[in-house]
Amino acid sequence: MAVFSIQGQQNAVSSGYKTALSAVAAASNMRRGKVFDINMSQSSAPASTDTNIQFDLSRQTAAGTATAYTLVANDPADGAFTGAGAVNYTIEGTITANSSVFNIGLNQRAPYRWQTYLGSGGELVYPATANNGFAFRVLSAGYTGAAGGTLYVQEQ
Amino acid sequence: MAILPGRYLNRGGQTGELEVFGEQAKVCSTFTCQHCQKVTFVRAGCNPTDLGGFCWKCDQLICPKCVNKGTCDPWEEQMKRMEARYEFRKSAGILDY
Repeated sequence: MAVFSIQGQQNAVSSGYKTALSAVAAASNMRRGKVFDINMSQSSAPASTDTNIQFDLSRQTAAGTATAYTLVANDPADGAFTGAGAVNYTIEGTITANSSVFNIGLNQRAPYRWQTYLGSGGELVYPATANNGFAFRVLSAGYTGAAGGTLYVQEQ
Repeated sequence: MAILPGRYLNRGGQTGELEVFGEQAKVCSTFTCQHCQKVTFVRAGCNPTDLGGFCWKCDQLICPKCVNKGTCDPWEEQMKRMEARYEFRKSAGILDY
């Protein structure tokens, strides 16, 4: 049960949700994944008028258009991630309605981190079904730079 | 009874924390609903009844939305159903993607 990280940004934050990164099960030989650590931050100059950024982690069932990302194993001795990662979506994937498991509005000027501990039962789990996983999305009414973060996933 | 800062996390199981960095650094306790997986933020000093509830059937903490449903459907069981449904559809050749 190796641990992997994926980091990415949504380069054009807008007032509608756009996916910064996603980690999903493969199309075949799927495994479950457990998200236990979410880091979120902004990587552009803040908007001159103070504003907030909404971060959201929801369930995704089909990929959109994005840049493929190879998840990095925390332990180099572990094998590769069997699922798929993607960052900076330009066309959104299919997000399950009312499936948000993490949603928070945060000030644009500070980084935040949510974490639980592996084995605590607090991990956010996606099922071992094809292309199912999590999409980490952002929106802001006033900030238009880049925002995103890093997710840590344990693959089962 | 009110939730005290830092106490909640020490109760173990399915809890986590949200950290804010910078000049206003602080930590907020969270727990994950075991029915829908929603991360629920625990505000210090809040009334416990505003947070959600405890499912006496699966012995786990759940969010307010799931409390109002009044049923016990743990996420683990929901995933088993999803995976079984997928395997059935795959074996029957009726996957729609």
